[in-house]
Amino acid sequence: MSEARDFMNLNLPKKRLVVVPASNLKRVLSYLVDFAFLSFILTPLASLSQKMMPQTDFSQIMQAVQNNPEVMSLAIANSIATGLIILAYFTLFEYSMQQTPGNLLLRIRVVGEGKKQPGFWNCLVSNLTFIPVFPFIILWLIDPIHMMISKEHQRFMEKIAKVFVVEQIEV
Amino acid sequence: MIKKENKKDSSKIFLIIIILVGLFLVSAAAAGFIALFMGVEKDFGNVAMIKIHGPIYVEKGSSFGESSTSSEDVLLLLKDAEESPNIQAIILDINSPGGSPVASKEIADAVKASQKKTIALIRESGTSGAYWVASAADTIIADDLSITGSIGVISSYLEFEGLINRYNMSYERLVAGEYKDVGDPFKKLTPKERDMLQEKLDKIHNYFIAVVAHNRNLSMDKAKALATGEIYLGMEALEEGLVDKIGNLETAKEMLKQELNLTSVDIVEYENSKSFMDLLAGVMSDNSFSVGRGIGDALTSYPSSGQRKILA
Repeated sequence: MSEARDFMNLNLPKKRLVVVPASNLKRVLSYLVDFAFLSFILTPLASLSQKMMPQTDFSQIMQAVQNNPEVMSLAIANSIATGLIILAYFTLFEYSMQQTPGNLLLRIRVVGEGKKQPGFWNCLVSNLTFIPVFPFIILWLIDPIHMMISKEHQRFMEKIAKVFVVEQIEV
Repeated sequence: MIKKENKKDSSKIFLIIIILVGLFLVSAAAAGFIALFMGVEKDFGNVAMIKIHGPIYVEKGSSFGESSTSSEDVLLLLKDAEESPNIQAIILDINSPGGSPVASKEIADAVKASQKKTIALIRESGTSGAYWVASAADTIIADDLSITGSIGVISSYLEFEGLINRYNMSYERLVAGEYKDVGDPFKKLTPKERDMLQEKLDKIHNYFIAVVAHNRNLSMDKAKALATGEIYLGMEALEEGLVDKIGNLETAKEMLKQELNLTSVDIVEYENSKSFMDLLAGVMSDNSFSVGRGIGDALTSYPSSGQRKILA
Protein backbone atom coordinates (compact mmCIF):
# COMPACT_ATOMS: atom_id res chain seq x y z
CA MET A 1 0.00 0.00 0.00
CA SER A 2 2.74 2.40 0.86
CA GLU A 3 4.51 1.46 -2.36
CA ALA A 4 1.45 2.49 -4.30
CA ARG A 5 1.36 5.80 -2.46
CA ASP A 6 5.01 6.31 -3.25
CA PHE A 7 4.34 5.61 -6.95
CA MET A 8 1.58 8.21 -7.01
CA ASN A 9 3.99 10.81 -5.66
CA LEU A 10 6.45 10.41 -8.54
CA ASN A 11 4.93 13.40 -10.48
CA LEU A 12 4.98 11.68 -13.81
CA PRO A 13 3.91 13.97 -16.68
CA LYS A 14 0.11 13.71 -17.29
CA LYS A 15 -1.36 12.96 -20.71
CA ARG A 16 -2.65 16.08 -22.40
CA LEU A 17 -5.55 16.49 -24.79
CA VAL A 18 -4.74 18.85 -27.59
CA VAL A 19 -7.18 20.29 -30.10
CA VAL A 20 -5.81 20.20 -33.63
CA PRO A 21 -7.37 20.63 -37.09
CA ALA A 22 -9.10 17.41 -38.10
CA SER A 23 -7.25 15.38 -40.71
CA ASN A 24 -8.52 15.45 -44.30
CA LEU A 25 -9.10 11.71 -44.22
CA LYS A 26 -11.39 11.96 -41.22
CA ARG A 27 -13.23 14.87 -42.82
CA VAL A 28 -13.78 12.95 -46.07
CA LEU A 29 -14.99 9.86 -44.19
CA SER A 30 -17.28 12.06 -42.12
CA TYR A 31 -18.82 13.51 -45.30
CA LEU A 32 -19.36 10.01 -46.67
CA VAL A 33 -21.28 9.04 -43.54
CA ASP A 34 -23.32 12.25 -43.70
CA PHE A 35 -24.20 11.71 -47.35
CA ALA A 36 -25.36 8.20 -46.53
CA PHE A 37 -27.81 9.73 -44.05
CA LEU A 38 -28.74 12.37 -46.62
CA SER A 39 -29.48 9.75 -49.26
CA PHE A 40 -32.13 8.37 -46.91
CA ILE A 41 -33.56 11.83 -46.18
CA LEU A 42 -33.68 12.76 -49.87
CA THR A 43 -35.43 9.55 -51.01
CA PRO A 44 -38.76 11.33 -51.81
CA LEU A 45 -37.05 13.92 -54.01
CA ALA A 46 -34.84 11.28 -55.64
CA SER A 47 -37.84 9.12 -56.54
CA LEU A 48 -39.56 12.19 -58.00
CA SER A 49 -36.48 12.73 -60.19
CA GLN A 50 -36.58 9.12 -61.32
CA LYS A 51 -40.21 9.46 -62.36
CA MET A 52 -39.49 12.62 -64.36
CA MET A 53 -36.60 11.24 -66.34
CA PRO A 54 -36.62 8.55 -69.00
CA GLN A 55 -34.99 5.33 -67.83
CA THR A 56 -32.19 5.49 -70.38
CA ASP A 57 -28.68 6.86 -70.72
CA PHE A 58 -27.40 10.27 -69.59
CA SER A 59 -27.49 11.88 -73.04
CA GLN A 60 -31.18 11.04 -73.46
CA ILE A 61 -31.90 12.39 -69.98
CA MET A 62 -30.14 15.66 -70.87
CA GLN A 63 -32.11 15.81 -74.12
CA ALA A 64 -35.40 15.23 -72.27
CA VAL A 65 -34.56 18.06 -69.86
CA GLN A 66 -33.47 20.48 -72.60
CA ASN A 67 -36.37 19.77 -74.98
CA ASN A 68 -39.04 19.90 -72.36
CA PRO A 69 -39.38 23.22 -70.47
CA GLU A 70 -41.75 21.74 -67.91
CA VAL A 71 -39.35 18.92 -67.09
CA MET A 72 -36.51 21.46 -66.93
CA SER A 73 -38.35 23.60 -64.37
CA LEU A 74 -39.23 20.48 -62.36
CA ALA A 75 -35.58 19.43 -62.40
CA ILE A 76 -34.46 22.89 -61.24
CA ALA A 77 -37.05 22.98 -58.43
CA ASN A 78 -35.96 19.50 -57.38
CA SER A 79 -32.26 20.50 -57.33
CA ILE A 80 -32.93 23.63 -55.28
CA ALA A 81 -35.06 21.71 -52.77
CA THR A 82 -32.31 19.08 -52.48
CA GLY A 83 -29.63 21.73 -51.95
CA LEU A 84 -31.64 23.55 -49.29
CA ILE A 85 -32.27 20.33 -47.37
CA ILE A 86 -28.56 19.47 -47.45
CA LEU A 87 -27.77 23.01 -46.25
CA ALA A 88 -30.34 22.65 -43.44
CA TYR A 89 -28.84 19.27 -42.44
CA PHE A 90 -25.33 20.56 -41.93
CA THR A 91 -26.38 23.92 -40.46
CA LEU A 92 -28.80 22.46 -37.90
CA PHE A 93 -26.40 19.78 -36.69
CA GLU A 94 -23.36 22.05 -36.53
CA TYR A 95 -25.25 24.80 -34.75
CA SER A 96 -27.09 22.62 -32.23
CA MET A 97 -24.47 19.97 -31.50
CA GLN A 98 -21.29 21.23 -33.15
CA GLN A 99 -21.25 17.82 -34.81
CA THR A 100 -23.05 16.11 -37.65
CA PRO A 101 -23.68 12.35 -37.33
CA GLY A 102 -20.59 11.78 -39.47
CA ASN A 103 -18.50 14.08 -37.25
CA LEU A 104 -19.79 12.23 -34.19
CA LEU A 105 -18.66 8.90 -35.57
CA LEU A 106 -15.23 10.20 -36.54
CA ARG A 107 -14.89 12.16 -33.29
CA ILE A 108 -14.39 15.54 -34.89
CA ARG A 109 -16.29 18.73 -34.18
CA VAL A 110 -17.00 22.15 -35.56
CA VAL A 111 -15.83 25.18 -33.61
CA GLY A 112 -15.87 28.94 -34.14
CA GLU A 113 -13.13 31.46 -33.46
CA GLY A 114 -11.37 30.93 -30.14
CA LYS A 115 -12.55 27.31 -30.10
CA LYS A 116 -16.03 28.49 -29.07
CA GLN A 117 -19.38 27.28 -30.36
CA PRO A 118 -20.01 28.68 -33.84
CA GLY A 119 -22.94 31.01 -34.39
CA PHE A 120 -25.94 30.14 -36.62
CA TRP A 121 -24.86 32.40 -39.47
CA ASN A 122 -21.33 31.04 -39.32
CA CYS A 123 -22.69 27.51 -39.75
CA LEU A 124 -25.03 28.62 -42.55
CA VAL A 125 -22.39 30.50 -44.52
CA SER A 126 -19.82 27.72 -44.17
CA ASN A 127 -22.29 25.27 -45.80
CA LEU A 128 -23.50 27.43 -48.70
CA THR A 129 -21.35 25.22 -50.94
CA PHE A 130 -24.16 22.66 -51.03
CA ILE A 131 -26.62 24.88 -52.91
CA PRO A 132 -26.64 23.63 -56.53
CA VAL A 133 -27.08 26.98 -58.26
CA PHE A 134 -24.65 29.49 -59.69
CA PRO A 135 -22.45 30.96 -58.18
CA PHE A 136 -22.28 28.36 -55.39
CA ILE A 137 -21.51 25.61 -57.89
CA ILE A 138 -18.06 27.14 -58.35
CA LEU A 139 -17.33 26.31 -54.70
CA TRP A 140 -17.65 22.59 -55.50
CA LEU A 141 -14.16 22.93 -56.98
CA ILE A 142 -12.67 25.63 -54.78
CA ASP A 143 -13.71 24.18 -51.40
CA PRO A 144 -12.01 20.78 -51.60
CA ILE A 145 -8.84 22.25 -53.16
CA HIS A 146 -8.63 24.79 -50.34
CA MET A 147 -9.18 22.02 -47.78
CA MET A 148 -6.26 20.03 -49.21
CA ILE A 149 -3.81 22.92 -49.27
CA SER A 150 -4.72 24.92 -46.13
CA LYS A 151 -2.85 24.31 -42.85
CA GLU A 152 -6.08 24.25 -40.86
CA HIS A 153 -7.70 21.84 -43.38
CA GLN A 154 -10.46 24.37 -43.84
CA ARG A 155 -12.78 24.55 -46.82
CA PHE A 156 -12.88 27.94 -48.50
CA MET A 157 -16.35 28.76 -47.12
CA GLU A 158 -15.26 27.66 -43.63
CA LYS A 159 -12.47 30.21 -43.85
CA ILE A 160 -14.96 32.90 -44.88
CA ALA A 161 -17.31 31.91 -42.05
CA LYS A 162 -14.47 31.57 -39.52
CA VAL A 163 -15.35 28.00 -38.68
CA PHE A 164 -12.88 25.19 -37.97
CA VAL A 165 -13.24 21.43 -37.87
CA VAL A 166 -11.07 20.04 -35.11
CA GLU A 167 -10.28 16.84 -33.28
CA GLN A 168 -8.85 16.10 -29.86
CA ILE A 169 -5.72 14.03 -29.69
CA GLU A 170 -3.76 12.81 -26.70
CA VAL A 171 -0.21 13.98 -26.40
CA MET B 1 -20.16 12.04 -13.70
CA ILE B 2 -20.78 8.93 -15.81
CA LYS B 3 -24.53 9.38 -15.37
CA LYS B 4 -24.26 12.98 -16.61
CA GLU B 5 -22.29 11.84 -19.67
CA ASN B 6 -24.86 9.12 -20.46
CA LYS B 7 -27.65 11.70 -20.23
CA LYS B 8 -25.71 13.98 -22.56
CA ASP B 9 -25.21 11.14 -25.08
CA SER B 10 -28.85 10.11 -25.09
CA SER B 11 -30.00 13.71 -25.58
CA LYS B 12 -27.58 13.96 -28.51
CA ILE B 13 -29.00 10.82 -30.07
CA PHE B 14 -32.53 12.10 -29.50
CA LEU B 15 -31.65 15.40 -31.20
CA ILE B 16 -30.07 13.57 -34.14
CA ILE B 17 -33.21 11.46 -34.62
CA ILE B 18 -35.48 14.50 -34.39
CA ILE B 19 -33.45 16.41 -36.98
CA LEU B 20 -33.20 13.42 -39.35
CA VAL B 21 -36.94 12.66 -39.17
CA GLY B 22 -37.80 16.35 -39.49
CA LEU B 23 -35.67 16.75 -42.60
CA PHE B 24 -37.15 13.58 -44.11
CA LEU B 25 -40.66 14.99 -43.64
CA VAL B 26 -39.58 18.29 -45.20
CA SER B 27 -38.13 16.38 -48.15
CA ALA B 28 -41.38 14.42 -48.61
CA ALA B 29 -43.42 17.62 -48.39
CA ALA B 30 -41.15 19.34 -50.93
CA ALA B 31 -41.47 16.39 -53.32
CA GLY B 32 -45.25 16.45 -52.96
CA PHE B 33 -45.40 20.20 -53.49
CA ILE B 34 -43.21 20.08 -56.58
CA ALA B 35 -45.22 17.21 -58.08
CA LEU B 36 -48.56 18.83 -57.28
CA PHE B 37 -48.03 22.43 -58.23
CA MET B 38 -45.33 22.32 -60.79
CA GLY B 39 -45.63 18.85 -62.19
CA VAL B 40 -47.06 18.12 -65.57
CA GLU B 41 -48.57 14.69 -65.12
CA LYS B 42 -48.07 13.90 -68.78
CA ASP B 43 -44.32 13.97 -68.46
CA PHE B 44 -44.09 11.27 -65.87
CA GLY B 45 -44.04 7.78 -67.22
CA ASN B 46 -42.67 6.21 -70.33
CA VAL B 47 -45.82 4.83 -71.96
CA ALA B 48 -48.75 7.04 -72.99
CA MET B 49 -52.29 5.70 -72.77
CA ILE B 50 -54.94 7.37 -74.90
CA LYS B 51 -58.58 6.40 -74.42
CA ILE B 52 -60.91 5.87 -77.34
CA HIS B 53 -64.22 5.35 -75.64
CA GLY B 54 -67.70 5.77 -77.05
CA PRO B 55 -68.65 6.70 -80.62
CA ILE B 56 -65.96 8.38 -82.68
CA TYR B 57 -66.77 11.73 -84.24
CA VAL B 58 -64.76 14.58 -85.64
CA GLU B 59 -65.94 17.10 -83.06
CA LYS B 60 -66.57 16.79 -79.39
CA GLY B 61 -70.19 16.22 -78.46
CA SER B 62 -72.20 17.81 -75.66
CA SER B 63 -70.92 17.18 -72.16
CA PHE B 64 -74.36 15.88 -71.22
CA GLY B 65 -74.77 13.57 -74.16
CA GLU B 66 -73.32 10.14 -74.64
CA SER B 67 -69.62 9.95 -73.88
CA SER B 68 -67.80 10.08 -77.22
CA THR B 69 -64.34 10.47 -78.70
CA SER B 70 -63.39 13.41 -80.83
CA SER B 71 -60.77 12.78 -83.49
CA GLU B 72 -59.61 16.40 -83.06
CA ASP B 73 -58.80 15.70 -79.40
CA VAL B 74 -57.14 12.35 -80.10
CA LEU B 75 -54.92 13.85 -82.79
CA LEU B 76 -53.66 16.47 -80.32
CA LEU B 77 -52.96 13.81 -77.70
CA LEU B 78 -51.15 11.64 -80.23
CA LYS B 79 -49.05 14.64 -81.25
CA ASP B 80 -48.15 15.34 -77.61
CA ALA B 81 -47.18 11.74 -77.01
CA GLU B 82 -45.16 11.65 -80.22
CA GLU B 83 -43.23 14.79 -79.25
CA SER B 84 -42.56 13.80 -75.65
CA PRO B 85 -39.01 12.45 -75.34
CA ASN B 86 -40.01 10.45 -72.25
CA ILE B 87 -42.73 8.48 -74.02
CA GLN B 88 -41.49 5.35 -75.73
CA ALA B 89 -44.77 3.68 -76.66
CA ILE B 90 -48.47 4.48 -77.02
CA ILE B 91 -51.36 2.28 -75.87
CA LEU B 92 -54.81 2.99 -77.34
CA ASP B 93 -57.40 1.94 -74.81
CA ILE B 94 -60.35 1.13 -77.09
CA ASN B 95 -63.92 0.60 -75.98
CA SER B 96 -65.96 1.97 -78.87
CA PRO B 97 -68.62 0.86 -81.38
CA GLY B 98 -67.09 2.98 -84.12
CA GLY B 99 -68.49 6.13 -85.65
CA SER B 100 -67.73 8.54 -88.45
CA PRO B 101 -65.48 7.09 -91.20
CA VAL B 102 -63.67 10.42 -91.52
CA ALA B 103 -62.94 10.65 -87.79
CA SER B 104 -61.87 6.99 -87.64
CA LYS B 105 -59.60 7.46 -90.65
CA GLU B 106 -58.05 10.61 -89.19
CA ILE B 107 -57.09 8.80 -86.00
CA ALA B 108 -55.96 5.66 -87.85
CA ASP B 109 -53.71 7.70 -90.17
CA ALA B 110 -52.10 9.45 -87.19
CA VAL B 111 -51.53 6.13 -85.41
CA LYS B 112 -50.02 4.64 -88.56
CA ALA B 113 -47.69 7.60 -88.96
CA SER B 114 -46.42 7.34 -85.38
CA GLN B 115 -42.72 6.60 -85.03
CA LYS B 116 -43.28 5.01 -81.64
CA LYS B 117 -44.50 1.52 -80.84
CA THR B 118 -48.32 1.48 -80.77
CA ILE B 119 -50.56 -1.09 -79.17
CA ALA B 120 -54.36 -1.17 -79.57
CA LEU B 121 -55.94 -2.69 -76.48
CA ILE B 122 -59.54 -3.65 -77.26
CA ARG B 123 -61.60 -3.88 -74.12
CA GLU B 124 -65.34 -4.72 -74.38
CA SER B 125 -65.86 -3.40 -77.88
CA GLY B 126 -63.68 -2.36 -80.78
CA THR B 127 -65.90 -2.60 -83.82
CA SER B 128 -66.33 -0.86 -87.11
CA GLY B 129 -64.54 2.53 -87.06
CA ALA B 130 -62.89 1.62 -83.76
CA TYR B 131 -61.47 -1.48 -85.42
CA TRP B 132 -60.29 0.75 -88.28
CA VAL B 133 -58.29 2.69 -85.69
CA ALA B 134 -57.02 -0.48 -83.98
CA SER B 135 -55.86 -1.99 -87.26
CA ALA B 136 -53.44 0.90 -87.71
CA ALA B 137 -51.54 0.01 -84.51
CA ASP B 138 -48.44 -2.21 -84.55
CA THR B 139 -50.11 -4.78 -82.30
CA ILE B 140 -53.74 -5.47 -81.38
CA ILE B 141 -54.54 -7.12 -78.07
CA ALA B 142 -58.09 -8.15 -77.22
CA ASP B 143 -59.80 -10.20 -74.59
CA ASP B 144 -61.22 -13.62 -75.54
CA LEU B 145 -64.69 -12.13 -75.26
CA SER B 146 -64.06 -8.70 -76.72
CA ILE B 147 -66.37 -7.74 -79.57
CA THR B 148 -64.49 -6.69 -82.66
CA GLY B 149 -64.72 -6.72 -86.43
CA SER B 150 -68.00 -5.38 -87.88
CA ILE B 151 -66.05 -4.24 -90.93
CA GLY B 152 -68.89 -2.53 -92.71
CA VAL B 153 -70.66 0.75 -93.27
CA ILE B 154 -74.17 1.75 -92.26
CA SER B 155 -76.39 4.68 -93.10
CA SER B 156 -79.85 3.34 -92.32
CA TYR B 157 -82.59 5.68 -91.21
CA LEU B 158 -86.31 5.78 -90.49
CA GLU B 159 -88.48 6.80 -93.41
CA PHE B 160 -91.82 8.43 -92.62
CA GLU B 161 -93.59 8.76 -95.98
CA GLY B 162 -96.20 6.15 -95.09
CA LEU B 163 -96.88 7.81 -91.75
CA ILE B 164 -97.37 11.33 -93.11
CA ASN B 165 -99.60 10.01 -95.93
CA ARG B 166 -101.72 8.23 -93.33
CA TYR B 167 -102.45 11.56 -91.69
CA ASN B 168 -103.16 13.35 -94.97
CA MET B 169 -99.93 15.23 -94.94
CA SER B 170 -97.70 15.52 -97.93
CA TYR B 171 -94.12 16.30 -98.74
CA GLU B 172 -93.65 19.25 -101.04
CA ARG B 173 -90.51 18.57 -103.05
CA LEU B 174 -88.72 21.74 -104.13
CA VAL B 175 -85.20 21.06 -105.21
CA ALA B 176 -82.72 22.19 -107.77
CA GLY B 177 -80.43 19.25 -108.33
CA GLU B 178 -81.83 15.75 -108.75
CA TYR B 179 -80.22 14.27 -105.66
CA LYS B 180 -80.42 17.30 -103.38
CA ASP B 181 -82.96 15.74 -101.00
CA VAL B 182 -81.69 12.15 -101.21
CA GLY B 183 -82.07 10.45 -97.84
CA ASP B 184 -84.77 12.84 -96.69
CA PRO B 185 -86.81 10.83 -94.13
CA PHE B 186 -90.12 12.28 -95.36
CA LYS B 187 -89.96 10.66 -98.79
CA LYS B 188 -89.23 7.21 -100.11
CA LEU B 189 -85.92 6.59 -101.78
CA THR B 190 -86.24 6.16 -105.53
CA PRO B 191 -84.36 3.17 -107.04
CA LYS B 192 -81.91 5.57 -108.68
CA GLU B 193 -81.28 7.35 -105.37
CA ARG B 194 -80.89 4.02 -103.57
CA ASP B 195 -78.33 2.87 -106.15
CA MET B 196 -76.42 6.14 -105.83
CA LEU B 197 -76.28 5.94 -102.04
CA GLN B 198 -75.40 2.28 -102.13
CA GLU B 199 -72.53 3.06 -104.51
CA LYS B 200 -71.14 5.57 -102.00
CA LEU B 201 -71.44 3.09 -99.15
CA ASP B 202 -69.74 0.41 -101.24
CA LYS B 203 -66.86 2.75 -102.01
CA ILE B 204 -66.36 3.53 -98.33
CA HIS B 205 -66.65 -0.16 -97.53
CA ASN B 206 -64.03 -1.10 -100.15
CA TYR B 207 -61.73 1.60 -98.80
CA PHE B 208 -62.19 0.23 -95.28
CA ILE B 209 -61.47 -3.32 -96.49
CA ALA B 210 -58.33 -2.22 -98.34
CA VAL B 211 -57.04 -0.43 -95.22
CA VAL B 212 -57.65 -3.45 -93.00
CA ALA B 213 -56.05 -5.79 -95.57
CA HIS B 214 -52.98 -3.54 -95.75
CA ASN B 215 -52.69 -2.97 -91.98
CA ARG B 216 -53.25 -6.61 -91.04
CA ASN B 217 -51.29 -8.10 -93.91
CA LEU B 218 -54.28 -9.98 -95.26
CA SER B 219 -55.09 -10.73 -98.88
CA MET B 220 -57.93 -8.68 -100.35
CA ASP B 221 -60.00 -11.84 -100.79
CA LYS B 222 -59.55 -12.82 -97.17
CA ALA B 223 -60.29 -9.29 -95.98
CA LYS B 224 -63.44 -9.15 -98.15
CA ALA B 225 -64.60 -12.48 -96.75
CA LEU B 226 -64.22 -11.09 -93.21
CA ALA B 227 -65.82 -7.75 -94.05
CA THR B 228 -69.47 -8.82 -94.07
CA GLY B 229 -70.17 -6.60 -91.09
CA GLU B 230 -70.05 -9.65 -88.86
CA ILE B 231 -68.81 -9.17 -85.32
CA TYR B 232 -66.10 -11.46 -84.02
CA LEU B 233 -65.24 -12.41 -80.48
CA GLY B 234 -61.63 -11.84 -79.54
CA MET B 235 -60.81 -15.53 -79.76
CA GLU B 236 -62.41 -15.72 -83.23
CA ALA B 237 -60.62 -12.57 -84.36
CA LEU B 238 -57.30 -14.13 -83.30
CA GLU B 239 -57.95 -17.12 -85.55
CA GLU B 240 -58.84 -14.87 -88.47
CA GLY B 241 -55.79 -12.67 -88.08
CA LEU B 242 -57.76 -9.61 -87.02
CA VAL B 243 -56.01 -9.39 -83.65
CA ASP B 244 -52.48 -10.41 -82.60
CA LYS B 245 -52.83 -11.54 -79.01
CA ILE B 246 -55.37 -12.38 -76.38
CA GLY B 247 -54.75 -10.50 -73.18
CA ASN B 248 -55.18 -7.32 -71.23
CA LEU B 249 -53.19 -4.33 -70.04
CA GLU B 250 -50.68 -6.51 -68.21
CA THR B 251 -50.06 -8.39 -71.46
CA ALA B 252 -49.39 -5.09 -73.21
CA LYS B 253 -46.98 -4.03 -70.46
CA GLU B 254 -45.03 -7.30 -70.62
CA MET B 255 -44.81 -7.02 -74.38
CA LEU B 256 -43.44 -3.49 -74.14
CA LYS B 257 -40.90 -4.48 -71.48
CA GLN B 258 -39.55 -7.20 -73.73
CA GLU B 259 -39.66 -5.38 -77.05
CA LEU B 260 -38.32 -2.04 -75.83
CA ASN B 261 -36.01 -3.39 -73.12
CA LEU B 262 -37.69 -1.38 -70.38
CA THR B 263 -36.99 -2.07 -66.71
CA SER B 264 -40.46 -0.81 -65.86
CA VAL B 265 -43.54 0.37 -67.72
CA ASP B 266 -44.94 3.54 -66.15
CA ILE B 267 -48.21 4.41 -67.81
CA VAL B 268 -49.33 8.01 -68.00
CA GLU B 269 -52.85 8.75 -69.18
CA TYR B 270 -53.04 11.37 -71.87
CA GLU B 271 -56.34 13.20 -71.79
CA ASN B 272 -57.62 16.65 -72.49
CA SER B 273 -58.29 18.88 -69.54
CA LYS B 274 -61.93 18.73 -68.51
CA SER B 275 -64.20 21.70 -68.14
CA PHE B 276 -66.55 21.97 -65.16
CA MET B 277 -69.45 20.78 -67.36
CA ASP B 278 -67.44 17.76 -68.42
CA LEU B 279 -66.81 16.86 -64.81
CA LEU B 280 -70.49 17.24 -63.96
CA ALA B 281 -71.56 15.22 -66.99
CA GLY B 282 -69.06 12.53 -66.19
CA VAL B 283 -70.91 11.83 -62.99
CA MET B 284 -74.21 11.53 -64.82
CA SER B 285 -73.41 9.80 -68.10
CA ASP B 286 -73.42 6.04 -68.83
CA ASN B 287 -71.06 4.19 -71.06
CA SER B 288 -73.47 2.28 -73.21
CA PHE B 289 -72.59 -0.91 -74.97
CA SER B 290 -73.35 -0.97 -78.70
CA VAL B 291 -72.51 -3.81 -80.98
CA GLY B 292 -71.86 -2.89 -84.63
CA ARG B 293 -74.58 -0.22 -84.46
CA GLY B 294 -72.64 2.65 -85.93
CA ILE B 295 -75.88 4.55 -85.87
CA GLY B 296 -74.91 6.56 -82.83
CA ASP B 297 -77.34 9.34 -82.27
CA ALA B 298 -79.49 8.76 -85.42
CA LEU B 299 -82.60 8.53 -83.25
CA THR B 300 -81.94 11.81 -81.52
CA SER B 301 -81.09 14.02 -84.47
CA TYR B 302 -82.39 14.12 -88.05
CA PRO B 303 -79.92 15.19 -90.65
CA SER B 304 -80.98 18.07 -92.85
CA SER B 305 -81.92 17.35 -96.45
CA GLY B 306 -79.11 15.99 -98.52
CA GLN B 307 -76.90 15.22 -95.53
CA ARG B 308 -77.18 11.52 -94.80
CA LYS B 309 -75.17 10.25 -91.88
CA ILE B 310 -72.77 7.51 -92.90
CA LEU B 311 -71.09 5.60 -90.14
CA ALA B 312 -68.42 2.94 -90.05
